[in-house]
Amino acid sequence: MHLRRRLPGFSAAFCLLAMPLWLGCARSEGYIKIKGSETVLPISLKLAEHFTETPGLPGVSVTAGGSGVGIAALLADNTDIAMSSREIKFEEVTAFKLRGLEFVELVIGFDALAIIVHKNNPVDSLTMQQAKAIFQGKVTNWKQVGGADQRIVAFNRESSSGTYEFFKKKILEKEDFAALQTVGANGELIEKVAHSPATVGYVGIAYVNPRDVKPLRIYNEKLRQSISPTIENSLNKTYPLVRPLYFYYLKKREKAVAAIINYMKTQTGQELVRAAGYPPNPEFYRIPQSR
Amino acid sequence: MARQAEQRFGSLFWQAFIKACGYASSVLVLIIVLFLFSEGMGLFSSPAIDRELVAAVHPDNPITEIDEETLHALLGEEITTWADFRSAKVELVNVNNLEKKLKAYGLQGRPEDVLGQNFERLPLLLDSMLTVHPGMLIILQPHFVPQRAKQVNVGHISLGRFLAGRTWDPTRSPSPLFGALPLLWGTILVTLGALFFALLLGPPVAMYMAELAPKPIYRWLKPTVELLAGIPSVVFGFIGLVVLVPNIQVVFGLDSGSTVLAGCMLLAVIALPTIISVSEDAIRAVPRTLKEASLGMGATHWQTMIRVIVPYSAPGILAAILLGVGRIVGETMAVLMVTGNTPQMVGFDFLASVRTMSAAIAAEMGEAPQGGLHYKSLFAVGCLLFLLTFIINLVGELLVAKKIKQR
Amino acid sequence: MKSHHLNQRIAFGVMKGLTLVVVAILAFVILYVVYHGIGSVLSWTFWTDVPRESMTSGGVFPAIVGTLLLTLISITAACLVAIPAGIFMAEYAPRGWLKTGIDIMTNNLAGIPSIVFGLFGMAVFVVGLGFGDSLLAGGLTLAIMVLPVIIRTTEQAVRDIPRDLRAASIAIGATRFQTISRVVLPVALPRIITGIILSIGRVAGETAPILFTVAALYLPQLPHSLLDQAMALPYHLYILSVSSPEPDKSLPLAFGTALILLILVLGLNLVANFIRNYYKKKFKL
Repeated sequence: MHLRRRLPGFSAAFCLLAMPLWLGCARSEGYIKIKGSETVLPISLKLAEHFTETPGLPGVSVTAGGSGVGIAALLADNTDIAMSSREIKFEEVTAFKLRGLEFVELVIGFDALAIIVHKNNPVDSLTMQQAKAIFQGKVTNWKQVGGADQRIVAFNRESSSGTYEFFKKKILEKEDFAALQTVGANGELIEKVAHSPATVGYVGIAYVNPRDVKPLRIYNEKLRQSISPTIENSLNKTYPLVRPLYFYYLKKREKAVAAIINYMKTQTGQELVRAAGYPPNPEFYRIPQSR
Repeated sequence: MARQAEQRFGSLFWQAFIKACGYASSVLVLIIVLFLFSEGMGLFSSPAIDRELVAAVHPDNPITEIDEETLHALLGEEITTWADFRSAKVELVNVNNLEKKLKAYGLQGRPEDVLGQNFERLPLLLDSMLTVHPGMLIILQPHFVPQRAKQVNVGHISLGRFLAGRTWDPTRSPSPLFGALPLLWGTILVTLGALFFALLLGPPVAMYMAELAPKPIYRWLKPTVELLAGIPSVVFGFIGLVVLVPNIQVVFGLDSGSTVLAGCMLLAVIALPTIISVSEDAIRAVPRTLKEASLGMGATHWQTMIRVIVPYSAPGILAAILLGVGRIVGETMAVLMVTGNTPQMVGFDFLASVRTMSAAIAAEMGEAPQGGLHYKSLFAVGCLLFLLTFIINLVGELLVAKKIKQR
Repeated sequence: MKSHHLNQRIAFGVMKGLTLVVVAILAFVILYVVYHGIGSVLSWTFWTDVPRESMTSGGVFPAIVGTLLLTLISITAACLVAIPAGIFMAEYAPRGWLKTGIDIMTNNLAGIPSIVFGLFGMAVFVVGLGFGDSLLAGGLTLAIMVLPVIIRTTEQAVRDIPRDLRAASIAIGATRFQTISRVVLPVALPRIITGIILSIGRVAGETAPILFTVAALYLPQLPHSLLDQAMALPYHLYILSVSSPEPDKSLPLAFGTALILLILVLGLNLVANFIRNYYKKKFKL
């Protein structure tokens, strides 16, 4: 009698305990996971919105972390697409090969890495050497690069971000940074630079908001003039700090992610890249004829 | 009969279930410790270079093992010649300077063009370089190391260097630096500051609530303190970010308001509820007879508080403070959002920015590939954090337990 | 004599003042969030819409659902183990050093920092058991985190039952187990429920344990299974406040999210207080 009365309780307990087993078999394939670089995030967010709002297309989840994490997650099969703001590293390629996995690389667009300062800072442009000296702590006063007599406060990014590695490779020529305050996220960096006149940082162009911060022009040695980081200057390759943005996915998952990959190769997909604030990939993008 | 048997079975089942749950939850701590330490201690049985790399030298070089210290000295170019190998000049080749070294060797063009798409010509090339520069130290993936070169063992990362190292640069390639001292110091500094504010507010408020507050006011105060305890730390962090940080920047004329000070103020508020309610219990536990004796001797209420109640309840208040410290040390989100996240040694500078242990885990774990050195090092930081809170809480709990026994 | 009274007056004044400071801090936090967040929260779409335009407009619906699901999973799992464990501690645990050891263990479990639970959850559920970033992994991590709270509340509630009640039950021939299940538990239940409600507040607002076990930055659809990722309110607040592409535009949304979290915690505290007071009165009669 009492046992019978307790049966629901028993079965409920049993179900709860058995649930993990059942779930082990029922992994959901309901959405495509994108994980990785924060620089690529604005594109992925727009992409996810588009896919969610269009009936018939699969849903998309976006998780941040950093380029390295995205690629590591792809390696561990924890994500469908890894977004990265740097090319896959050599040791990562070897890791894929060791596990017998084949990956595919897609350049979804480009980024003009911008060096940003407070909007009232009189400095308008820098050479690559000046930028290097600033981030290595060798130049410590704005006066030394043509600005006001004020100490320079440079912000660094988290060391596993692709942006950090690109900056280290391109500007610092792989030498070490000085001990700088680290900012975890792009939004936080913009906020900090916007509110303090002595600061300088570096960030993907989509995050630059001219109302808050001033992107510096960078001296192009071949053209002998300073070029500002804009989509146009990246497309005509005059801005020196342009880098590709990547999606990586596993060859064996090609079908599952085809919807996204194919979309990124279309004109509308590339317009989305442009709308997110990045230069599109000319391979898939026809520049509207305005002239 | 049958009914009785059913009943008996039911009660036996539930009793067994209850016991199983009891024992299971009491060993849970052990399981957590086991997992944490098995991952974290892995750091100290790993060589001091990235796990997919090996170090190799000229076959005639007598060296067979490089310890961590020497490796860093070599990489930092503090050691430039091999002492017991014809004083040959150390020529370092690793992923970072490969391109530069190839250029210096006289090879022009992109590495892909020189070495083939998968760098398959690299071992051969290194082999010939090895003849020219016998002092070469190659740190690369094993399949790029030329056959002829001799692999040397790289010493393990030592616990001493982890605890006392002053540089936290976990992604430095090829040999990351895991000096947790800046993180530990960040935690200590933030805790000290938070404790200052919490001590200023906690015990007096507890005293007021236990001794002075009229009943209607107390009925409001108690839930207020509980509510403060219930507010999620991410909300405090957010408030800190939008209110405290900009104001600290303006008031102190700093370049960035993300400072230890901001963290201290937030953490003090977060620890207050614990400190207040545990101290209040301790103060209420003072026997009425003691108080009345003091008052009967003609002491004022204030004198009674200071001379009788405080000394009597001191262990309880101390326990409250320790439990509060436990909370402060482990708090993550609020610190992560306002202390500026810079792993650096700062001394006693409350206007500098630091990275605490908990913030380091939260900020870096999402970016550390599983099973790598960085991943393990964060678990090691987790172990350190666990031990710290464990000891603090244990002492706190023992003090509370002792007090209860006395009663 | 006079100076003693003056001292006392000053000291009491200072204590009163400091108490006011604490109340003022709480009032400031709440009013500040309400003032800036009310605009977002009053709009219906904030509750029902997904985040839009790179999280600068739209709502937080998926985050609300994610937090509710996480809370449900973790509290169910925690209660399933913690209530029996609490009864065990109060009724069955052998006395002596073993009991002391178990007590110390549970108390220390309560003192472990939440980020350490996150590490543990990631190592065990996400990687070890292969759940991946999922509701299940996050829920179980949170469950372990609140386990000691519920154990302690249950233990205390069961232990505080008046001896007469048990004696009466035993006297009419009930077994020990019958006494526990029919007499002790029903009387202790309100206090246990109060404890559970407060744990819900803790689970719903905690961020550190879900950072690497469940949280998706952006997932504008509802989870279909326990192995899906989900958005969650506290993590969403963190993301909105530090990594939005346009901080100005997402600030109102961040305040709105903070306000929802506050309302949740405030509401749960009120309910818990109500239950506590109601039964206090009832059992005094």
